[in-house]
Amino acid sequence: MPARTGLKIVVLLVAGGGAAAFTNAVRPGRLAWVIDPKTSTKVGENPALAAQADINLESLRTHILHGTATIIDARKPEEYSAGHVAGAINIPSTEKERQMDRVFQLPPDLPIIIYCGGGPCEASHEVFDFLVGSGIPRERLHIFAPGWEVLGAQPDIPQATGLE
Amino acid sequence: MDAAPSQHHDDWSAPRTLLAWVVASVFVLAAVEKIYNPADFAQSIKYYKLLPGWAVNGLALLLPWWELGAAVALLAPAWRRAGAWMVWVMLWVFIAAVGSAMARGLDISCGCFGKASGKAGLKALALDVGLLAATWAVLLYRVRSTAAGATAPLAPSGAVCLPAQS
Repeated sequence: MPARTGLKIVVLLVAGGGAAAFTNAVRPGRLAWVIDPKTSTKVGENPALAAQADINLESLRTHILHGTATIIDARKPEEYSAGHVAGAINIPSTEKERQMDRVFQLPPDLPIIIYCGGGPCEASHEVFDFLVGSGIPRERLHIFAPGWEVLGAQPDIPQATGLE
Repeated sequence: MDAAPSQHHDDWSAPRTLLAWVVASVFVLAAVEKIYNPADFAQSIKYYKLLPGWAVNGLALLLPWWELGAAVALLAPAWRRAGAWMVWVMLWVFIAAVGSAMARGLDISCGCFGKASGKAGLKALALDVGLLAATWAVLLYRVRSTAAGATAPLAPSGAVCLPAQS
């Protein structure tokens, strides 16, 4: 590659960086260039928010058995169909925008507990952030990170199969 | 015959220009939605699980502008090679990312065109490989032209500029 071409590439890269910096600076929903775990408002990026949202198995069990919380399954429809907590609402993280109507139909006073498949549980984080963005107070929202991997193995927690 | 008309002819050879325009069009389409909505693109990058979390937003902000810059460069004959090299490198990165997502069995959006993206699967890979071939052709013509030297005969105007040994 001749030096002239290399120089042009550098110009394009720098110009692109400048354009990105400018548009991001004037955009209303500005994106942080580097994610700061302390100031991020996303539950998956901020460990303090994640700890605040976390709910343990015993509390979740109590809520499920007494029907005192809305349970949301954030997995894909096919995973939900194969087995889920009885009464759980399926709001897949990949289709959350299409579920806006259902979000407004959620009981307004009950806590909302989201679970996913387990592991890093990113689907729950996304649905959590989506619900916060939809106007639901953060304090009402909880995540059960161990997810269906653990829930599906609990004999006393009622389960169901098929779609809603 | 001197080098200038040969270079000039090559810069404007019909197939090369056409391929450059096709690649540029796809890259403009790919860039616009991502520039408009970098947060969604950042989420797409995150799903690939290839980058540390702190680097995701920076790439989501920069990459679409680099795509757009490369596309615009492809349209201008004097900048075409620089644009083609940028596209060439980006396409290899995209192929590696989509390929690795497929190898890991990730069921994710490719993020190629913002919200309009399909899955990170064979279709996305095929598109990237097709664009890579077109970009390769764009780069190749100039290389062959240079290799032919200053005494290369000037092809008739509008003639298809095929590589020398094909």
